[in-house]
Amino acid sequence: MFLNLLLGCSRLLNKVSGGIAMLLIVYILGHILLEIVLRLFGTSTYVLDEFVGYAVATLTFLGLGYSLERGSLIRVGLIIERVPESKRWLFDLFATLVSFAMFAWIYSYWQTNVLRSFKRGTTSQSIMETPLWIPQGLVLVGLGLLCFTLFTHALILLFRQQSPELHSAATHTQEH
Amino acid sequence: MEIVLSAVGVIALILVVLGMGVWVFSGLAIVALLSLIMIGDVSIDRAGAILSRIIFRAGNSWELAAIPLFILMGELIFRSNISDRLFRGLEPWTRHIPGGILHTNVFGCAMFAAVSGSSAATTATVGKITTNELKVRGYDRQLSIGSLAGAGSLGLLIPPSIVMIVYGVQAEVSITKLFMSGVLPGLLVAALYTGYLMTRALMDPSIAPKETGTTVTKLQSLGLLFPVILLITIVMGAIYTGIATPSEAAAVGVLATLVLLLVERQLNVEIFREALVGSLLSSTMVCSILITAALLSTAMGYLHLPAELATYIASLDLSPAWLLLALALFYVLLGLFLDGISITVMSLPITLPIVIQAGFDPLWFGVFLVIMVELGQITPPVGFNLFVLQGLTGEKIGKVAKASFPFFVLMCVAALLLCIFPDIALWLPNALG
Amino acid sequence: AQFDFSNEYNTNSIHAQGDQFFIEKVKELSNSKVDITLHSGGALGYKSADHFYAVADNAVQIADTLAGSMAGIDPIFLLSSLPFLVEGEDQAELLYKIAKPYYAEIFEDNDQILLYASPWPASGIWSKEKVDSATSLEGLKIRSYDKNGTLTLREAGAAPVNLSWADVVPQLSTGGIEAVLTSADAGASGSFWEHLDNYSAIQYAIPLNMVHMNRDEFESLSDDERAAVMEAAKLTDEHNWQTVRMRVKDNYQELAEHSVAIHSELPAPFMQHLQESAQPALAEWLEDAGERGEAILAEFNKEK
Ligand code: NA
Ligand code: NA
Repeated sequence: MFLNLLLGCSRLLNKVSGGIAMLLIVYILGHILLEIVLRLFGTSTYVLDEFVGYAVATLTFLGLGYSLERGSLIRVGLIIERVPESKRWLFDLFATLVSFAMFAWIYSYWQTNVLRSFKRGTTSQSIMETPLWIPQGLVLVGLGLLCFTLFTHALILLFRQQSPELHSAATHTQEH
Repeated sequence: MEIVLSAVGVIALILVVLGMGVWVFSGLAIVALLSLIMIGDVSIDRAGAILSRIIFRAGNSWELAAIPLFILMGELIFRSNISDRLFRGLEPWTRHIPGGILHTNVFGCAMFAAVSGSSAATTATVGKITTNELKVRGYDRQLSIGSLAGAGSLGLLIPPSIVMIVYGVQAEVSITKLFMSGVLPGLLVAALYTGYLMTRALMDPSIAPKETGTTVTKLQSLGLLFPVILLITIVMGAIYTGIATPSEAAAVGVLATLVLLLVERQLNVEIFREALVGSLLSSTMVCSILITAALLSTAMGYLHLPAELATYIASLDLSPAWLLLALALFYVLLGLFLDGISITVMSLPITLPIVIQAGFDPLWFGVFLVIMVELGQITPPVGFNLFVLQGLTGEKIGKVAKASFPFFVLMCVAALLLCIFPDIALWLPNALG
Repeated sequence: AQFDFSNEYNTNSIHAQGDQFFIEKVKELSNSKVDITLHSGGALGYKSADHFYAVADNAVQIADTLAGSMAGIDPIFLLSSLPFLVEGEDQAELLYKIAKPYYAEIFEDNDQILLYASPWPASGIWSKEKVDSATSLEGLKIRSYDKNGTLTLREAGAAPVNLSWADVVPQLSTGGIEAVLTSADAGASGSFWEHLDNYSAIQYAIPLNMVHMNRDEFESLSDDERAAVMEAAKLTDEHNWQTVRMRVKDNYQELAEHSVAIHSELPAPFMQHLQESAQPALAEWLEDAGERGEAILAEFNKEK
């Protein structure tokens, strides 16, 4: 019951963040095209590389949980594929736990940094003087969601001995 | 000897962590952390300050933006009938060449390399269009994967090229001339690949099945090839007229593809959404690995590993030929576990002075270095083209690496030819000014 | 002690060479007890914009940082890149000496010490056609390197664009841009003469890089070692201000060898037009920097 609730939450959150990440791809496309047109008229948005940089970082981190759920983040099958099907969840659990530890640890350090940027009002040096806590915070949200997804998956692997990965349309080219 | 131990330690860590089945993106981050703490003797707090800052810096990168866009372009083409028309259009042209449309990988990558500056984007875009089609048509899986892995790295050799820009800025060599000097070596590599595919097909015709189905005339085929030729022409045109920078070219490519599909009534909301999903999944996979690979190269920087290895080579006082061999081994070793840009940035401060001292032309060395970096793209355990292909095909990394091995050897042959005949690189920039 | 030193610029740059000078001096003065490794070209993965807090958190112990990249932390760091504030290296050095205590205080407040400055050669305009009048600047597609440059050039009637450094040469070769605001030095390292034939020495600014060190690491050194580091920093500061003057001469010679026309005697009305265009950027900075800014400028105007 509790596990289903957690999994439901994680799926919903990742669906939302995946959607935002996709919109960011469209945004990058739009901003670059706008810049090209403006340059033809001798003007500029002046923030192309800055904002597109933020967008790429944000979409990658927001997309991580989403991709993890859909099993599209690659791993090396050297050992896993030689383990009997019934024992495979142990390796999945190991991978999930060490990844969770790694990114939860990074999250805690990065959080301190984002808070400092927020408190001190640190801005970028561009003409927009972007408050840095915003792009930094978006990456933090992505990291947080990744940790939450990994945590949920770890619990499910532990109690159900079965990977909760979805098999979406995108994996159809990956059949063995 | 201490450096060698560190290098061996790092490679062992990568093999163990990735071998246990940890996702590549998190595995590289874990190896970076363990290397800093266990080999570099860095405190856990400092490691946290280092890695959290680099993870944001590496992700927050304008240069990465081309990856999701080029992948989106590939996804859109893959979901339309353009890719099918491409293969049917190529059929009458390649029917008499041994290997048939297996050559699409090499030609496609060579052409796409002229619009894309990175090898990951080249491999992912061309691969999205070819891997499945070649499989369905019954072409030899090994060769179709291997040739794509090898040819995808042409993205760095044929201009525009991110690694060449990085080298040009570091070595103060004209980027324009560097771009020109990459063209012939790029074509040489492509020719070696084509020759290899033909030889294999002559030895064993079963690797390339006889094309069945309705054949078209060469004239009709031009109509089928038209969309792809048009798209590439538009993107190249945008770059070479200065309308778009090489980093912006991907956006022009997506726009042109969208317009083409709209005109041909092949675009609807559902297709666009599916293409976006596919593009998000692939680009998250590629970009996250590039980002955590940056953590690994930062860790290597703190261990002073590339610098000390290069200093060691400098201390050997080798003759020019032996020096090149030593450098080649050095770059192949770094290429096992680092990405191209990191290799370039970390090694140049030491290798460039040695190379110039030994009398080599820095322009020539730039091309040599790009080929060395390309080799690293197709060697395990950390090889970007291998990762991209693993994601695209679902095959095991070992199989992908094995399929790529002949192409690794051919690239080494190209490097050897470049050493014997430096004019392969230098002729064009000298001839054009 | 062993330290890592991060720097974004290539090995031949004036900054990396100054840093190497510092490292050798430290080694010499400390009898090889303090060993510093320079990671030039951003080899550790940091850009200038990361350095301030990377050094504060001791992620890296020493860094060479473009002052303007710290403007989002404190506006005082924009001082050295303000347009047309200083005329030549003498004034730039004077301005640095006046402002140094203010810079040092910010570093001090963030667990760091300021070691020395590394000035850039003055920036001018590299262009296809000669730029020596307001008319020739009209609508000129020019790449600027910071916010003030963009504001000033826009005010002067040009069309400044924002491009990453990696895109500059490809855009020059295809004609996407016609001019670049940068030093003769940077243009020379990018072989700009392949595409551009003119350099107008408008003496736009002499921006500074600053080299700063984590304070805890500094304090963990013995008294002798600390003295060695401070002495080396002082020597490097002097060395850098001398080098930048020589560097400009060398650059001009190199430009002449590649038949780039150097325009150093520019018409007074043109210079006045540029200086007027810089006023809004200066006014905005004064507002941001407040009393400290006014105090520095008052002293500078008195002594120059
Ligand atoms: Na390319
Ligand atoms: Na590799």
